[in-house]
Amino acid sequence: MSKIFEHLDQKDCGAAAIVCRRWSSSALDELWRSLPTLIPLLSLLGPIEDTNMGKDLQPDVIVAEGTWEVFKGYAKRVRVLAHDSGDALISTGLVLRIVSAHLGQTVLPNLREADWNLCDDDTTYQVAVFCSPSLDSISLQIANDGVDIRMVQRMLVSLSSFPLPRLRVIHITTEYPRGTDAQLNEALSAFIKNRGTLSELRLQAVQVTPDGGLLAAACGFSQLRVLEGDLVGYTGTSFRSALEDLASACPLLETVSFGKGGLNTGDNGETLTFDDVEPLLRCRRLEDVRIWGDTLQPFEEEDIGRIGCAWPRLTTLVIGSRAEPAQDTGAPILRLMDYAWHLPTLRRLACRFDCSERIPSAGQVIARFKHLRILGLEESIIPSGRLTFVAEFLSMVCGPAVKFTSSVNSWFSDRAFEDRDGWAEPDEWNQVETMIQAIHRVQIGYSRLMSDSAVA
Amino acid sequence: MSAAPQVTLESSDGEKFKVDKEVAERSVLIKNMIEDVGESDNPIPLPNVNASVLKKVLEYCEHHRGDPLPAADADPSNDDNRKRATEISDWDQKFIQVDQEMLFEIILAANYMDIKPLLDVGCKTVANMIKGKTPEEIRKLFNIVNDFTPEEEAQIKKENEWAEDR
Repeated sequence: MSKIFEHLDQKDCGAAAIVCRRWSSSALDELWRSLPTLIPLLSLLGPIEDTNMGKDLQPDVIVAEGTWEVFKGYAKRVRVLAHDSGDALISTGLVLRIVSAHLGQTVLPNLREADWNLCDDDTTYQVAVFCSPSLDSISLQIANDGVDIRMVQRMLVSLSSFPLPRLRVIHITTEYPRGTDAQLNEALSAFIKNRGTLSELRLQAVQVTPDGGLLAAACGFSQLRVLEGDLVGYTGTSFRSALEDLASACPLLETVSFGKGGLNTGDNGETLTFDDVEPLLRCRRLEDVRIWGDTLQPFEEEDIGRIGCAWPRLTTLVIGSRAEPAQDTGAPILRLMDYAWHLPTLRRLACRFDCSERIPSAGQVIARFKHLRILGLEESIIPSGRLTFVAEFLSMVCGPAVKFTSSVNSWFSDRAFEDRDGWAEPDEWNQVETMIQAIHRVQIGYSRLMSDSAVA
Repeated sequence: MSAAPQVTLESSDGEKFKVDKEVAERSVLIKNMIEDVGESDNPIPLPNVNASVLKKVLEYCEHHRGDPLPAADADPSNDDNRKRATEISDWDQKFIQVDQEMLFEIILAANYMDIKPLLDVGCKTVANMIKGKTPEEIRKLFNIVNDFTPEEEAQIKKENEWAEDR
């Protein structure tokens, strides 16, 4: 029956659980497999109310031994938990009641995936309460306002001694101002150290500093497949050297997302060059590469050719710049042909292009993307009067299936390729897109006409 | 041109079916048996599947003989999406339009013979029959007797009432 219930949503599993005894256990297993919040579990203890300290049991509720057994029975079923403390802050009193009823026991003994959104100091210690040695993946989103960074440090240090022998994925996102995360690096290093089973380390928007030992700790995982982080405070030499160590230690990497930046906002900033990332060419399995700097020195044709030879499986490439378009105009747009020529497996590419340079006409285009689906144009600016040239060129280099986006400042996630709000002149790009679509329609119509005449 | 290699399968009621090896190997159980024992003229016994069900299962395998086999190490998150998606292709929908007894026999056979895509089709079909129905309607549909006491039923309902809003 469990194989059937896997295809039902939670409402239907709830109905199936009441059908008969034979169905009930499997349906409940499926229903409680993935919890969208802890509230259903806590509600088993009695009526929950909102208090100044967060969600709590009504003051007169005494939890009987039998009720705790029911709680434990359901808790055993939970494999996946997502809890947003912003939506449902749980009071410390209630958490302490749970802890005292589970002395020497794990509250969620079979939990595989935990996804916590932390919005309050008190929630930082709750993570350890609901952590389980069976965890395969842990994800922590830490809000900027409301969570003191020292509490996060404490949480990470306390989690570092927690045995997590199956842990494969660590995903941490912070929203602290640039430079603040440096305080977290040591605690993060302690947390990830000796997690021998780790294959994904996603430190999205977490600033990784040279002296925090975080990247060195990541080098301890030879089976690492995914690594994401924002490297700040590295010089050209130390950045390259860190990536050299990483490429030697983690040859199986498939996905990397790195920023290169100054330690603090307002620093002069770090320019990302091809030489900085060149050590990664040794990681031959890379499929998804996203790199960016405070400013960017555009890659030359030769660099793109070397990328094509080194990463034959590459499907996603982002080469980004944090600088304003006026400061950093991007690569000459004709370089797009080099990407099309040397990286035939690409499905998604994001890069800022300079449209004021020479734009080849349709007859001069010598390469076209075969598999590209999304072209992120970042904040590329089109000088007035050049719309038709840009449209003509892009329609030749990109097939009709290519979608154009702006993809700014969200390079870590797939949102990088959905965003269309980053253009300084969205109207211009919308016009270019309309022209490209029209050109493709004309091309298709013309080919049909030609093939009909050939048949006739 | 040499003929495609064939194997013989024997149902629980002794009926023999000669089929292309490629078709039989849609079943991971049979594929493993052939790999373990090596090719032989002896029929492969399937003691848990009767002839009428095996005939139907082989009809499915024949139609899907060229399909890519599901990867053993598929990404678990994709697997989750696969489970939640309840769409069934037109041919499969027509194929699985059988009476309830045969439907459950096919599911059991697909599970035993380890034919994941067929198991999926069978389970999704039953799941689609359950969707949106009340417990009483489900009992009526599958002719199930409610063996809970009213108190037990009320208790389970109360513990899981959060799911009603999902």
